[in-house]
Amino acid sequence: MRRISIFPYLPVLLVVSILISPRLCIGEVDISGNLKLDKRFLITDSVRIADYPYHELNLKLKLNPSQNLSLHSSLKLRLWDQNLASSSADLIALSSNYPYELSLWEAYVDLYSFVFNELDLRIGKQRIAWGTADKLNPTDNLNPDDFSDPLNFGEKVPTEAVYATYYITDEYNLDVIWLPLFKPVLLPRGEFPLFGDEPTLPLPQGTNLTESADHLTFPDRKPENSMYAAKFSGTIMNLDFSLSYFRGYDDMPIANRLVVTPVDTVGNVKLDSYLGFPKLQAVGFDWAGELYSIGLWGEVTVFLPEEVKMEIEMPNPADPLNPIIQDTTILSDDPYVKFTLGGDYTFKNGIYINTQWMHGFFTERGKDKLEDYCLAGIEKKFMNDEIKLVLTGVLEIKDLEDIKENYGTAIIPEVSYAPTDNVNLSLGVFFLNGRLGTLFGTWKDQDQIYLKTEVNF
Amino acid sequence: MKKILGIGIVLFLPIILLGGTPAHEGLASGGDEILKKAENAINAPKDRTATMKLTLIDKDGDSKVREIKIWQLGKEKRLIKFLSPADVKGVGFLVLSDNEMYLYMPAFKKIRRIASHVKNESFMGTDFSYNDIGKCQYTKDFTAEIKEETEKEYVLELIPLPKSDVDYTKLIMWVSKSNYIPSKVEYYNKKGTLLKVMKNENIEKVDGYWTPKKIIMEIIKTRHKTVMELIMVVHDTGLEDDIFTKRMLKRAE
Repeated sequence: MRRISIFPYLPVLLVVSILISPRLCIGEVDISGNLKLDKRFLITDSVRIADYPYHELNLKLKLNPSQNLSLHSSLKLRLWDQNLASSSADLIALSSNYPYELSLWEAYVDLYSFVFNELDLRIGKQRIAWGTADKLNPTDNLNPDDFSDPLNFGEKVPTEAVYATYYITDEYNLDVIWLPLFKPVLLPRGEFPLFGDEPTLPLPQGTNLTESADHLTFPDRKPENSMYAAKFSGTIMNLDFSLSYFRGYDDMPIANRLVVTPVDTVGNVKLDSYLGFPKLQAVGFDWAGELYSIGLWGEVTVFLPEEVKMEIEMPNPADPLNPIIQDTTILSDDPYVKFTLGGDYTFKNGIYINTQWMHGFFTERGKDKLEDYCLAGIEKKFMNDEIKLVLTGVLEIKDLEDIKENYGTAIIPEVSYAPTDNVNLSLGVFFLNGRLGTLFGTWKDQDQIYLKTEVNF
Repeated sequence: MKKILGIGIVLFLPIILLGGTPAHEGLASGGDEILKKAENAINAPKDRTATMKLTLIDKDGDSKVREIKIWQLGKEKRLIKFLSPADVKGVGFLVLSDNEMYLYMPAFKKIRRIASHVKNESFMGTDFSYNDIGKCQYTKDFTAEIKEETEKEYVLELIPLPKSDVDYTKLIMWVSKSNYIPSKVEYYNKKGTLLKVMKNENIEKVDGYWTPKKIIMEIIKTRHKTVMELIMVVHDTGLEDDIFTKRMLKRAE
């Protein structure tokens, strides 16, 4: 499958026009990027090559035409190892055997000291990274999640935004963001369960689900459906903090209507799921500081979701013309809280440790659906930092009152080697396990060895 | 705040970061006075902008090269940007005080506060630590005695002050009588073992300030060294406080 997603963003046109302009020297354009190769071997029963990981080529262009103007764009090419050909006719297409996606990943213009000396403006498709925690950021909600590689937590997709930062003083600033269009989550290709405990639909007795389809409904493309955010940041007594607010949509769709219809007279049925994106508000607070030389950070976000009711329409064996209709609340409007607390320290022998406690995984939402995750990592570098050993462990706790039957584990040893500047090779293993219904329990067939290569230029 | 390994290296780094003063008049009467004169020589310029080449050389002679740009104001404020190689290009380091340092990683688009435990670590793979890069004032932490005096140099022994929690038992410093720029410093750990040595070479006047154009830092145990060479430097160009902010850390080129 081939999908090209290049949008006519103004910054790119500017970059291109400047590139071809005879008045400017090509040397003023800063070109950089990287190539990332990723191969995974699933090792649970027999060894298989995983189909959802991808190789990636990133090409970045940067231009500073003047002191107060900067243009940025990046192209991302992802290449999958899947074979999409299903008949010999498909074998004539390169994209059948080497599916890829090309995307204008980022394209924005920076206007420094815009109108006022204290005001900076960034306009265009951009990554807005909020939060002080290490990759586990409950305050980072402006860009949709990128679950293309579900084991690479915390990745996000840049989105179109107007981002204004007003520097009140050197220590305090106010950010105001307008995101005109909602963009949804990016899901993994191939078979990878993202959710630990998905509810199953109770079908009427004697029926058999043979087909299913889902239908997405996006917020209307109207100005009133724009998303907004603001953040006040500062530093007090060596403590960095920020208070933030977001008003927009949940990037993960949720079913608001299920329709089960018979497809024949012997009990086979079809399921149509209608999914939408509930409105969401989030009030966040994050901080970073240190105590006795230990680096400490924390993030907490109160989510105020829109209530989502789901209508289930089932065939009525007693009266086929009047299906059974049930209503149920699938997402309550009760506020729920996600948080991350963490710390790190480097011992005098060079061993670095990092630990975080996270309440509420990226895919979890709703007051009663949040689990706890305790992460701990230890790393040590050798041979002038050319070799790095990292051991990461994650304990998932679904129910703190009955941990024994409600836990999952992830253990990830990794060795990486940087033979020269700009090159990094890493070899590691994901060992995943857990009780039934836990996230890691759902992933227990995903144990895998990975080999990654990254080259920067 | 814990002051860790490498605090003494700062004795030299500021020299290259701020340059030296014209030669001082008269002879110093004691080690502390000479140390103070050395500190004044190091911190003489009001500000400085420089581009440097850092060559990291291992015991087998294999080398890696980094290029950085530095802006400095007074004794404390410093902004550093990596220009190359590609995998660290754009990384920024901001020093506002001993206790307030920030790192900007363009790949994550985030500014991260540097906690004390990191300040002892290698600064982006060099033989300088974050603390070495970040500190300019060393008389706060050491008292000095003259151990030896030659025709051209004083040899000082620096002992940590009781209030200081530096990781060294002593530093031995060679200070030029003509310009008070240290030419060499040895760093000893708590067992009395020599940990690392810094040398200043090619000391020349730039904009009227004595400035070493080459600094070599060598770790004795690993025989790994970093050679820092000045490519371009200008002094007293009127840098202002608003350059040394998190705003500029993300933006600075």
